[in-house]
Amino acid sequence: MSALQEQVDATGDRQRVASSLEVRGLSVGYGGAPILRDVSVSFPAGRVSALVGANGCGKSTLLRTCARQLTADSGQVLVGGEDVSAWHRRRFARTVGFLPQDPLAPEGVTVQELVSRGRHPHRGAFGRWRAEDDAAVAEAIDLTGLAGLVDRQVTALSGGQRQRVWIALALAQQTDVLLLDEPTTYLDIARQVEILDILGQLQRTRGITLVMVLHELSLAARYADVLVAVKDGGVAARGPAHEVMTDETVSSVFDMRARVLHDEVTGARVVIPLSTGRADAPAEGARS
Amino acid sequence: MSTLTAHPPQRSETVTAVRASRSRTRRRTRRVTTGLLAALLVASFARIALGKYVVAVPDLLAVLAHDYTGPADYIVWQITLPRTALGILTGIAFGLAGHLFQRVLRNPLASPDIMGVSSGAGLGAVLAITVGGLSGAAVTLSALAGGFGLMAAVVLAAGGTRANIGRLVLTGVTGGALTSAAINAVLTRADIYAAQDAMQWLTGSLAAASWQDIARMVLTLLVLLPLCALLVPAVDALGTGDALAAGLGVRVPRVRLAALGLAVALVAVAAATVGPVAFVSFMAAPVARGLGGGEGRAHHAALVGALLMVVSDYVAAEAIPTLALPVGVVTAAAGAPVLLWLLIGRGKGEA
Repeated sequence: MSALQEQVDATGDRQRVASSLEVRGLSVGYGGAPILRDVSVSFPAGRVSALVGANGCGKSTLLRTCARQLTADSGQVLVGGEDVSAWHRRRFARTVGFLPQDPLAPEGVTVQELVSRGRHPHRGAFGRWRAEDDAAVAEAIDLTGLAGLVDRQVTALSGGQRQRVWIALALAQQTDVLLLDEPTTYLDIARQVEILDILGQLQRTRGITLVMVLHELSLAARYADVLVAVKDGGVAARGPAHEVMTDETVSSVFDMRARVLHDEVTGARVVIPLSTGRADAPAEGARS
Repeated sequence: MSTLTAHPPQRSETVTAVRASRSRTRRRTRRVTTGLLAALLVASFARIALGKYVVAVPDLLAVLAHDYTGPADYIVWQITLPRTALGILTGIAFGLAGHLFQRVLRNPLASPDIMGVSSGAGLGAVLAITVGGLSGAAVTLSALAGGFGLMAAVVLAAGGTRANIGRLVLTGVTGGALTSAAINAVLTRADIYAAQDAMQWLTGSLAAASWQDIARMVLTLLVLLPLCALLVPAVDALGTGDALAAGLGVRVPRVRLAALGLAVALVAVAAATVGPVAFVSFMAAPVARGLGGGEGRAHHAALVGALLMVVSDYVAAEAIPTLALPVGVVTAAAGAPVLLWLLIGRGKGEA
C-alpha cells in the first residue's frame, strides 16, 4: 500500500485502478410495493458519485442494496464487472465498505479501538493483530486528521470529529469501493465541507470508488464527479453536475420549482428553491 | 480545515501512537484482570477459612493436602470449599451470560435475569418439584427446559431471529413477568412442604453445594467457555450497530442468536444448580465496566460474577451470627442500588 501511495504522491496521478460499481435491472421491495423498479446505473471506478433525490425516492435503498444490506427481488449488483451475489461475506467486506447513516458508538470505546474495528474482515477467527493492521489504522487516522485524538473516548467527541472516526473505521477496512449513507447529516456547513474535503482527498490519493447519498444538492454538485438523481424508485438523471443540475431536472426530481445558478468564480452550481407550489411561499421577485 | 489533510503528520509517528494506545488498553485490561483475580483469591480464602469455625493457614494447607484430621477437615471439604468453588463456577456463568445478553441486545437492562430466562428456569424447576415431586438431576433438566423454552417463546413472540432489539427486550420482560406470576400460582396451589423446598431453591442458595454439582458446572464451562471466546470478536462488532457490523462481514442475526443461546445455556445450568440467584447476571458487566473503564470485557464480567457470588455468600452466611441467609438475599439487596444507578445514569445520558 505504501509503495503505491508514494507513486501516487510522486506523480499526482491515479496509478491504481479501482473497481467500478454497477447495478443492472435492480428491483427491491419491502414485501409490499417495490421501492426500486428495474434500476440500471453505473458508478465509475475511482470517482465520486452522489445519489440525490427527495425523501423516500429510493436513493438510500439503492445504496443499501449495493452494500448487500438489502436483498434485491431481481437484478444484479456488479463490482468490477463481477456479480457479487455469490461472494463470500468476508470477500465482499474486504472489497466494499459501507458506512450507514446512524452507526452506534459504544460507551467507553476509544478512537483507536473503534477505528481498529474496521480490520474485522481482514482477521480470522483466532486472528492475531498484525503490523499491517496497525499500519492500516494509522493511515486511516492520518487521512481523517485524528492523530491527536487516538486515546479519546468516541462518545465525548463533537459531531464532526465523530463522523471522521466513522470514516476512519471505513478506511481501515481498506476497500476498493466505499458506500456512505448521508455522511454529512447532522453537521453544520463547515463540518459538512470538512468531511467532503477529506473524502475528496481520499478519492484523489487512494483512487477508491466513492458512492454517497447526499441531501445538500449544492454540495453534491460541488464534490461529485457524477450525480445520480433518483425519483420514484428509478434513475431520473445521471451525469456530471453541469448536465444534471438544470432548472428542469432539479424541479422535476424534487417536485419543486427551483433555479440553478452558476458561480463564475468557483464553477459551482447553487440551487435556489422557489416554491413547491403547495403553500404560500415567497414568489419570484417578491423580495429584493 | 485544509491544514488537516495538506500536512498529514509523519505516518510512522501515527503508527507508534496507535500501537502505544493499543498497548495502554491492553495493559489496563490486564491490570483489571490481575486485580479481580487477586480479589477473588482473597475472598475465596476468607470464605473457606474465616467462617464461624476459623481455620488457621497452616491447618488449611494441611487440610487441602489431605494431611490433617479433625473438624477442620470436614468443614473445609464438605462445607466451605464446595460452596466457594460452586460460587465461583456459577458466578462465572451468570456474569458471562449477563455480558453476552447486554452486549448483543445493546441494553444494560437486558440481562437474562431481567429478561425472564431465570424465571423460565425457575418455573421449570418449581413444576418439577411441586407437581412432579422430583428432585436432583430431573429438576436440573426441567430448569434447563424452562430457560430455553422461555427464550424460544420470547424470540418467536417478538417476531423471529431478525426481530427488532427493543421489541425483543420488552417481550422478554413481559415473558419474565408472566412466568413469575405462573410460579406464584403454582406455589399457592402446591403442597406446603414442596412449596417450602421450591422457595428455597428459588431464592438461590449455595448451602447444598456438592461435588457432583461442581463437576457438572466444570463440564458445562469446559464446553461453553471456548465457544464464548470464539464468539466475542463478532459480539463486540455488534456494538456499533447491526448495519455497520453486517458491513464488516458479521452474520448479525446468527451471531446474536448464538450469543443468546450460549448465555441461556450458561444461566439455565447455573440456575438449575444453585437457583436463579437474583441480579448477579445483571450486575456483573456494568460493575466490570465501572472497574475496568473502556467498553467492558467478557472475562472481567465473568470474574466479577464469581466475586459477587463468593462475597455475597460469605456475607449471607456470616453477617448475622444466628441466622444463615441464602446467597440470593444478599445479591438481591446489592442489585437494587446498581439498578437504580444504571437507571439514573442512563436518564442523564439521554437527557
